[in-house]
Amino acid sequence: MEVLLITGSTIEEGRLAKGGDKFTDDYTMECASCWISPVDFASLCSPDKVKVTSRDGKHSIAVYTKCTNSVCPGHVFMPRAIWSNVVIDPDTLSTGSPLYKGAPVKVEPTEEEVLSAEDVVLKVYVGRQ
Amino acid sequence: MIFKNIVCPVCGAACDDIQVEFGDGKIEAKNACKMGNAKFQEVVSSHRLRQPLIKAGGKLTPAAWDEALEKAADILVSAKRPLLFLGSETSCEAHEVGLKIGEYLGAIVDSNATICHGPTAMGIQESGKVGATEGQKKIGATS
Repeated sequence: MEVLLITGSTIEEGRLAKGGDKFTDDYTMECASCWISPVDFASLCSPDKVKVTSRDGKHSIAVYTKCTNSVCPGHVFMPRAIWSNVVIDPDTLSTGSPLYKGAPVKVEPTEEEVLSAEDVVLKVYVGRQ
Repeated sequence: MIFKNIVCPVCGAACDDIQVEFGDGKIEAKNACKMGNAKFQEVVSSHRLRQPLIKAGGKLTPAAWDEALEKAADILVSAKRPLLFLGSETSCEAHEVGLKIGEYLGAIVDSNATICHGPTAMGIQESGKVGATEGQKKIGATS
């Protein structure tokens, strides 16, 4: 399913990040998450986890799902964190910031494991499994 | 000891009415949100670095302040193309010192303003909106 990815803070993400708790299970559960509208969640067959893939198909990440009315159909929301940063559009349009809001992504159900923040670093940025 | 009218060090809303009570190894922040509170608790957290550490043979070992400052100065003045990225959630006074160090070194100086609030300000200006901090709004609302 093609959708627009909106990323941003949540208050719990902020509490955990500012409190130095990025390497905790609480942080993973809060941030390795894709919020999906009930309509889109149903058409994806209500998956526990989804794989979110960047528009160019080069980057993808598995995260837990959260079905919520706070997201419009056609949009998904991911808390700002290392998981969403794997798939945001890197184009800055000369502003210094990548496209944190509104990047087209593909979302599909997955059985892939959701990685911890440390494992995302090792896999995506260090190139180790 | 109670400190009043502290500026929150976290987000760009810059709430400036935080009251902080500090003593006995504990800190309590009033008027701060969950994020602000979590940040103030970092002052007394177990994972705060409380002394300088110097890496020797790949291992971090405790060092005296004088030795650490000397080492840091050596690294900076020996740098061929120094880049100072001034940290986020840092006081204006610390940024001022950072800018002075950057000028002295002939360094490139940048900060979170470029990647965080710079684009925000550009967007606000381009759309013709007025910019204001949360602190200003609170004062405006009560005066």
